[in-house]
Amino acid sequence: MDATATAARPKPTASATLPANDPKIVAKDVNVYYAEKHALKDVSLDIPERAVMAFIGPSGCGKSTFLRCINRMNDTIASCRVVGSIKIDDQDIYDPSLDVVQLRARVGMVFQKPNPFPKSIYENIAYGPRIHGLARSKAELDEIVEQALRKASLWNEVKDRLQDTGTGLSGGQQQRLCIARAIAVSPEVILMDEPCSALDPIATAKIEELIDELRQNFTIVIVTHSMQQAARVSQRTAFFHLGVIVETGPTERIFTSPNDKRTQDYITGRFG
Amino acid sequence: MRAKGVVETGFNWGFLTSGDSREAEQAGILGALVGSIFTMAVTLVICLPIGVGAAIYLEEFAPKNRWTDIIEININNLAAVPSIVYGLLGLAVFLNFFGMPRSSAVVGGFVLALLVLPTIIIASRAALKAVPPSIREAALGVGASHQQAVFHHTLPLAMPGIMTGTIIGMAHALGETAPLLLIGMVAFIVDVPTSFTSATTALPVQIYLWSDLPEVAFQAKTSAAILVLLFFLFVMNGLAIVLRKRFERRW
Ligand SMILES: Nc1ncnc2c1ncn2[C@@H]1O[C@H](COP(=O)(O)OP(=O)(O)O)[C@@H](O)[C@H]1O
Ligand SMILES: [Mg+2]
Repeated sequence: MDATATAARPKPTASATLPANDPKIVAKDVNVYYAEKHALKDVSLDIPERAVMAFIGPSGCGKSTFLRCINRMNDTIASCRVVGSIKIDDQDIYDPSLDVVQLRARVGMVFQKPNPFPKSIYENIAYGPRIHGLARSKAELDEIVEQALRKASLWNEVKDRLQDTGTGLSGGQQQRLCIARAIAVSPEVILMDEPCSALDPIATAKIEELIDELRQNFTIVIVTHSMQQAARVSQRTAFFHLGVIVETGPTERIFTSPNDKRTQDYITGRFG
Repeated sequence: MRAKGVVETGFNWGFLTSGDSREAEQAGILGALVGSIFTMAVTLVICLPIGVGAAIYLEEFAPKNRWTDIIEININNLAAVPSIVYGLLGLAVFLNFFGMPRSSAVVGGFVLALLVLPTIIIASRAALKAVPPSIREAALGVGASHQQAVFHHTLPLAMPGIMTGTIIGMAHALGETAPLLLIGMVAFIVDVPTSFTSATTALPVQIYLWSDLPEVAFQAKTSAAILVLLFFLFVMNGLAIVLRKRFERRW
């Protein structure tokens, strides 16, 4: 990974809760097309390092599309075309010489529906480190698995049954397993696409708590359709509407004094 | 007659352990059985790797364009071609053009491989397609390459379906008669085949041969041979069902 970027990264401090951090990700004039459909129009956005950025907006406005641009997951959709520039630590991720596989190791992703591999809990976590050669021995791999599960607050619940299948866990545990799987390859950024939409309130609360802890170490971007959730977990919010970013700023300000009429209408529940 | 010891009822092991004969009482199924096994082995060795490879390529790697569309349509059409046409093809290509040995298990295996290849490709593609995209996305999301996602995740999950399709295809091949007639596997062969190139016949062909003979005793032989064939078909289909049940939807 990028050595200069690691060196330049500031240590987390109390001020990390403020949205004043250097931008980790800088998107400029991003346009996305699905065949003829223009799904994102001139989207520009700075995403601060070691903080949580929330994307809110009505369904179909392009939140997931933009999120999937950040780890180039859209490459897997044949009809999808992305133009514009997205830089992570000043490196253009759409540079043709960039290795997409390395990018996806740096930018982890958690999906809407928990999607553990139909393998053991251990294997779920160990897979990423193994393909990237992060562990030289079984003991090292065990350590990575334990640390990832601990960081995802799942260790205590599963430490006695690491060989059980991951799909046998409850929905909330599965989603935390997916978060642990993402953490295990030591990403710098974690993208989450409505990670709680399939979960009950208690599981949701656990994940939110976890997100709050994770922002000490990771840059997190979360799509959510719950405005309360955005308010609870994020420091900055971007409001998407019909493929454009209408407004972005500190979460508190977006929710208390939005500048744009459309943002106001959305957060007061007039459409969405 | 039984009292005089002229006839006895009991299991005729000789039937399963001897080759064919002009004498009904000495004729056995072993030659045809071994011939079928050799033929099936050749078929499996050819069509499993090619079939699964083609399915993986078409489903996961091939670009979606006019060429692959044409290939796809043709595979579907090939699955519907009458089997005797494959026999003619085998006769023309393998025997006349390549000069491979007549009546042999190799040629039989090649012809049957052509016959079941479309079945295996179609079944394998369906099995690959049935793996939920979320699994693939999960793999890509932790930085697996496309190949790794396919070979570490999609393919293992599709394997039960691929196996089921293969077994059904093989069962189909085992019962196939017409193409084998055309490549000369219909001869009267007494010796149990010892190699893939020696002259041999196969179970369904043996049934066809015996059913044509005028002696009454061969009627019983025909029935017994049919039972043997059915036994193998049941076992293979049973295996396919067990596989399908065991590995059904684990995600
Ligand atoms: N794979 C796709 N193919 C074609 N159109 C798509 C695809 N994915 C999303 N879209 C379209 O792009 C727009 C934005 O979708 P999305 O980013 O999923 O919205 P959101 O996540 O905000 O609900 C929608 O109009 C949707 O129909
Ligand atoms: Mg979405």
